[in-house]
Amino acid sequence: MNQLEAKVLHYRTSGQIILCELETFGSEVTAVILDSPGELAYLKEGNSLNILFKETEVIIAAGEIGQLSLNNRFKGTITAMEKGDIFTSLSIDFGTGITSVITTKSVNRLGLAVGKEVTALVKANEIAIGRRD
Amino acid sequence: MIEIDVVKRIKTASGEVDMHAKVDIEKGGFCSLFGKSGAGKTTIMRLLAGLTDPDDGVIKISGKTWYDKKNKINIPVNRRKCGFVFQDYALFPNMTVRRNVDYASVNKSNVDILIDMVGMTELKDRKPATLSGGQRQRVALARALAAEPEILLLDEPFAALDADMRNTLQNELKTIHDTLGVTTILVSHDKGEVFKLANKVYVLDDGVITNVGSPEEVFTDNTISGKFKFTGRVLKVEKADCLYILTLSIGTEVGHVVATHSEAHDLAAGDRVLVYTKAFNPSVRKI
Repeated sequence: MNQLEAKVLHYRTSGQIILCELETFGSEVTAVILDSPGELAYLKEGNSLNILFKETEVIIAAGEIGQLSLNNRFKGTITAMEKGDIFTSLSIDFGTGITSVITTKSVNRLGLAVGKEVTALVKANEIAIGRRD
Repeated sequence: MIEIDVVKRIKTASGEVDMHAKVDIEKGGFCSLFGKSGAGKTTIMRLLAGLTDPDDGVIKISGKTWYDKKNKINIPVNRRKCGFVFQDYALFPNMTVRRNVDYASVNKSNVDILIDMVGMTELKDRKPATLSGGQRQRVALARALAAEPEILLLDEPFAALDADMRNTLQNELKTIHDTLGVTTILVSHDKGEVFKLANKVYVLDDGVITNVGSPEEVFTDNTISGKFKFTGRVLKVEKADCLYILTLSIGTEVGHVVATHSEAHDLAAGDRVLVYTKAFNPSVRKI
């Protein structure tokens, strides 16, 4: 699980769905969660919290990105790779470290290697939030 | 109904403290006292059994007063109906399994039923020295139940056993409790054991009760938002490619989760885990 510190910029709700705009290491992040703000005492504008997302849900783009629906884009550099037969685990630094697990087939197709610049993309509904202890 | 509301000065790891133990257990319930050693768990058991006296307070069992400082009531140990099982078996070495249970029994006709209930019928003529640790604890449990106690007090009863035997005996104890409905208090520092057996847990730290509730309420991680959260137990951890496949039991079902190194590297079979996903991910279909 990727876990990063983020600051709450603002949030709005529709029924039980909350859309949070956050900032983490200079990048803007949007997270959509199902909860009531009253139950999440740590969800306050200006507060620090954790954002969490699974490594297997991090999409990797190399080069120019065309028009995409994804809001969450982390532009960084590949710092390490663990290549398996089917999956490869990539460590990416964009001011802090995150991990992405994608197929080795895609790694080869995109010609990914340590030192290469990439953009990590995460759907807003894949990001959970948690209290910082 | 067990109502304990007593004060007792105890020695803890951080010095002497006045422990205020306020514990309520419904009749037939299974309650656990959870905490590190020296937290005061065993002292509460001893206060209940009358092996040590409180400095102040009241102990009532099913409406009967066992201890009341102000009214100078203190029922002696031998008239408090408590069954004990400790970590060390304390069986009579010169008696057979059957004699050990029979010696403590209130109702002789129940002896063989209890020996059967703990699965010791085949070995009932053996002496304790020829039994394994798990078998001796079975006998100790049958003997404690034979006295028809109002409360069964279990002080880390399975702590000296290996993981498989501990697991088996926990399951057997659960079945026995469900069958007989004896009000039970278990001292334990094993979260998994508490989860499996208790319906109420008191967490003690340095003589202070810091948390009370169901094991789910007390132990489940509330720090992550999410509407699809469960606690499960790891059955297996297997490496697959650069990932791990976890086999988990959640409730009565078994499922699989793909985990990354950061999630799986410190997991082993038997560990309890929080399983969560965003509410957006699960798909449903009418069955």
